[in-house]
Amino acid sequence: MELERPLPQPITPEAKPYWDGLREQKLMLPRCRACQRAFLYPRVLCPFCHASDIEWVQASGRGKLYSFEIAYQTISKAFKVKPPYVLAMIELEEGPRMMSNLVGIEPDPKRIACDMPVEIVFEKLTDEITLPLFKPAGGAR
Amino acid sequence: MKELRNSVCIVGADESDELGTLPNKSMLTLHLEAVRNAVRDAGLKIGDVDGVFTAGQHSPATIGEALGIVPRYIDGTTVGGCSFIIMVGHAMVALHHGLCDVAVVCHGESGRSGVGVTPAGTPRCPASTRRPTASAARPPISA
Repeated sequence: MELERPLPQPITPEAKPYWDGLREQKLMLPRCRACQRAFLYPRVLCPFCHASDIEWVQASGRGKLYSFEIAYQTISKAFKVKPPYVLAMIELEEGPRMMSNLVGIEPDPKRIACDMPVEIVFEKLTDEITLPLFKPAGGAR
Repeated sequence: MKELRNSVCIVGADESDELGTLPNKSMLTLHLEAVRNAVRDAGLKIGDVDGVFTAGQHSPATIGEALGIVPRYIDGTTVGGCSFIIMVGHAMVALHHGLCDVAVVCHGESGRSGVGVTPAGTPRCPASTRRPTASAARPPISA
């Protein structure tokens, strides 16, 4: 089967728990043990207090649409998702923001609004890689 | 012109936590460890750093973001292996003129393991899927 998206690479050792979690349908976040704040992307230092004691916690998978763009054309042919699609910046309940796609809703600016509640959808691409996408919370409306 | 003598000094220097072949650490991690250790050596905090100087695959913007700081001044002059020596000069000038107060000149390289490294010349997507570049499509400029 031809993949709709290029696979993420390289997967660094620091980000491995993130991808391992997604494969098990869990959204895992690095969190600083010193200041208790979660962050993305995974790295060895807390970007808030700069401590090096990082743990992994499972996120709820809920958040809100911080910002979005509806793409009517793709810039790379390796990305085969049929436009229009919604490029979404999600703000997770735990704090971090992440880029994703908003799915399960018509890509219509009249139906999509900033701050709308969203929840995670796990999109399995291969045996190794599952991507975190988001849909409107409580199903499509 | 301000007097350059005693205007700027190197207050700390250090390396990543480990040296050698490190298949479990990305290039970015090597940068971050080196910065953390050098800043500690100087008796400062990462939050004190407001100038980032680095060359190579990770831009100073990437390093600043990874450190969780918003530098007042950055420099990414990449001219090969001597980049970092040149940057010591650039950092000195920036500090001397007050463009930043604490400059970090950093490097991280996963040379043997290539972790988190994009090999030189790697296209962002396979050649078969790339669009022709603007320069290829544009007719040559005639005099």
